[in-house]
Amino acid sequence: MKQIIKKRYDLQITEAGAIKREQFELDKNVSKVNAILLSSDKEEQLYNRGSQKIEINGQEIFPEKYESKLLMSGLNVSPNDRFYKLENIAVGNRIMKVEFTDNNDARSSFSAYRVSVYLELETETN
Amino acid sequence: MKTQIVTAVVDITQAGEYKHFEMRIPDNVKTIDGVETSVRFQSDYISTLNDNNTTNDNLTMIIGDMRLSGGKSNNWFYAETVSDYVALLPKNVFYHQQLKCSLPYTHHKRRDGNLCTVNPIGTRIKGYFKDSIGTNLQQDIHYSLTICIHLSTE
Repeated sequence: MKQIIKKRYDLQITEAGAIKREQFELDKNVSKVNAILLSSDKEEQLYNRGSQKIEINGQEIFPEKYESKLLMSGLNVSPNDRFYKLENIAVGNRIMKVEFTDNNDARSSFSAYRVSVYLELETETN
Repeated sequence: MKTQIVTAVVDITQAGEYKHFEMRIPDNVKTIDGVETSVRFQSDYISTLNDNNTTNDNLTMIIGDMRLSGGKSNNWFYAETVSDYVALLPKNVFYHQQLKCSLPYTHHKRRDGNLCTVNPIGTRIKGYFKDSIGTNLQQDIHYSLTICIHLSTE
């Protein structure tokens, strides 16, 4: 039976200008990655300072310097529209690599923050 | 068919600066599907706008004008007036106003990239960007503009 679930993967950014690389393993029963969303516990930091490269199964989804604000959605957006839809992503080895870069921006001075990557996943259960 | 995104960063340091740029795209691109832009400020002058912000809303300004060329049937296929937030209402004022204002990352409406359907010529997208914010504020504002082009490849 197919199910749609949402999972969250966190990165902690503790240093200004840092490049944080993390690898996450998706569950074994994941058959498809449908969509993605970024959020944070300090959203102005992520909005002004964040950019990331994201790969799933070795396929680059977002290149370096793709800014985080382009993947954030506000509360006024319907919950069903908040996620950025991904198409034709083969799950393959089920590895998601995130290379997050904190960049200086005159609108926010740095304080440590958490970046959350939400994935909308399709799973197969017996 | 796969989708891919290519990015370019244009650095602006002077008021009224006019900058050409070029982006390489793969040779197996079928269509250019959309364009997104984003601005990051380096200039300390921008943070002073926040200190003096006495308006009841966030301050959006026009940053500049951008054009892209490289389409098959229309060479100049994309034009945009780039704008972004330069001063966000301080959080304590936001709460005192009982949620009347909207911060872009909490209450903004859904952000859609500008869609287009263009067949590219060759493997280079050329464009130019002309600064407006520096001219309007009469200051040399240092910022970088990131241009993201969404592609469909075979």
